[in-house]
Amino acid sequence: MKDIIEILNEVNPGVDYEHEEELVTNGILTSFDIVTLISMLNMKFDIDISVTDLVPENFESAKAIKKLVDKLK
Amino acid sequence: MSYTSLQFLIFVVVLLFVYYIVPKKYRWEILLIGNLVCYYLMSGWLLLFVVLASLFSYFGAKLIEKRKEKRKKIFIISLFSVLGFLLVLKYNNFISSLLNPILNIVNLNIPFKKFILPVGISYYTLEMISYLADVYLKKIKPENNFFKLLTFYTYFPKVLEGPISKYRDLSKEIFSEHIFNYESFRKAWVLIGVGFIKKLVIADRCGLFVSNFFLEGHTGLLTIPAIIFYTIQIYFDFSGCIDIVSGVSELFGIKLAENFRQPFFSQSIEEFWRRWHITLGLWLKEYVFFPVSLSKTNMKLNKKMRNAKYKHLSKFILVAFPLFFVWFFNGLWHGPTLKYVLYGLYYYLLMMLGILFKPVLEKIVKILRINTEVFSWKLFRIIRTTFIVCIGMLIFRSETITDAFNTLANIRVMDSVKFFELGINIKEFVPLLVMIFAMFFISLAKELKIDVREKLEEQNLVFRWIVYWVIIFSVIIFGVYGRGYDAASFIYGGF
Repeated sequence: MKDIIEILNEVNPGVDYEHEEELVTNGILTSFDIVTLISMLNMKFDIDISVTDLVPENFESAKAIKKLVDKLK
Repeated sequence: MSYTSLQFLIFVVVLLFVYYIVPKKYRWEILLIGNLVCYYLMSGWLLLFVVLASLFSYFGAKLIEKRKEKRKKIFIISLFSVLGFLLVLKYNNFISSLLNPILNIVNLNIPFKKFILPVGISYYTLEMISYLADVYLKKIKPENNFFKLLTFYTYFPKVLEGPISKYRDLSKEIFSEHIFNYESFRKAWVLIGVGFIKKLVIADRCGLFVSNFFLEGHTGLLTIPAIIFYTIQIYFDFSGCIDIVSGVSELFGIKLAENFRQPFFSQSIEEFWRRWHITLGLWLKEYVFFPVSLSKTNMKLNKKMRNAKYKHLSKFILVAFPLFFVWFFNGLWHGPTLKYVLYGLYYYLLMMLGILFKPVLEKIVKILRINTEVFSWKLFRIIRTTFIVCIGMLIFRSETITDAFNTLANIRVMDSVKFFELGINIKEFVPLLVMIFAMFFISLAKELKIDVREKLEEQNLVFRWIVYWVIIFSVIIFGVYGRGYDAASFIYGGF
């Protein structure tokens, strides 16, 4: 979880990622941010996030992102 | 038959009557018949093209699900089978002009041919691609009933000019059972009325000035109002059409996707394109930007840059590569010529410069101690964005890029023509200005999250009816009507 929050802060700093539950719905993560985030997650965890994983639910919170990463590991 | 014609209004009223008297579960079938009749009235037997393409997308989607081992191949074949109509009918000359110089080497040549386009081909082709892609990406199950799919593709309010819809969203609206609601009905008519004002009172009136100015080849300072009027014309023409069709759709209880969100309040180009032709932007984001961004090529490119520790540059390239395709297709979608491609790339270039120099610009703002939260700064950004958009519109209006540059250069060349000699006299200019301001205040209210139509519904009967009559008489008295009282065609309908 710590790693994911670190990456999120690098992509878009200044957000309370531990508690924010609607990163996509509230427009905190833009499409540019999501692409940067995916590229960093792919490299960090050696996974391959594909277009099929690109649904808002997978990126709404740090918890949801961790769940996606765990699934693809 | 145009959306602003009397025939269309009669068609809608008759269809509404039949729609609401048949049992709820048969209503979508009435819509299908209405769609086919409407399409035939607009495009004649070119209707067969949309039916054929619908069949390809229907069977393609079914096969993608059935033949799991060959789903990728089937997806690509289906994609090109629906795209083929658009490529052959609309882009054949553009493709020929690119290929002929190479083919000429081996004494081959693709002849130039101009075809009559089926109405809305650029719109429904994108909808077919999104349907196939959604089935391929397992976002939706393929539709079992071909006629339901055909009802969606040919849905008459959106077939000519969008909004570009997705089957997964609009099917829920079309095929759910709707009951007649008088309040929603009134609100829908208000939206239609506003659409008519935008189109007939504002867009077509500005169009007179614009046509006279550019066709007669005028120069001088009046170029500036001509460019501004053209920007106003395009916006009110397109958003007016969307208001009319959204209102018509609401009469049937079906809500269409939002296509404009007060674009001229945007503080940046990115924001402008999130608010202007929203459904095209979303389509390009979902079916071009993300797939190219997450492609192996882009990811590898990014990995190399990151490993080389060029962090900002790697972030830049990560979006620059897919955005090139987004803007290339955005331009090309508008028209099959190099000018439209350059129109798309104009925005691409500006956006890329914005991203590349973002850290530098942020530093300058910090050094100059500019308060970015104040109204004056936001207003400056809005004016700057509008200026960039106006230049973009000039490229859009000109025959070639060189023409656009010449128009700008000719601002210095004085011309004897006066403002009121270009198709709008003072008596017409005043109501035009009043209506533009009225629309500005409606947009401002929306920007402040006020639901204008809901507020109107809350008013007393007398006030409401005064507003209804003002709308009706504004269209009748101040609207621009050509020969036989037929309004000018919608600009975006040409795509």
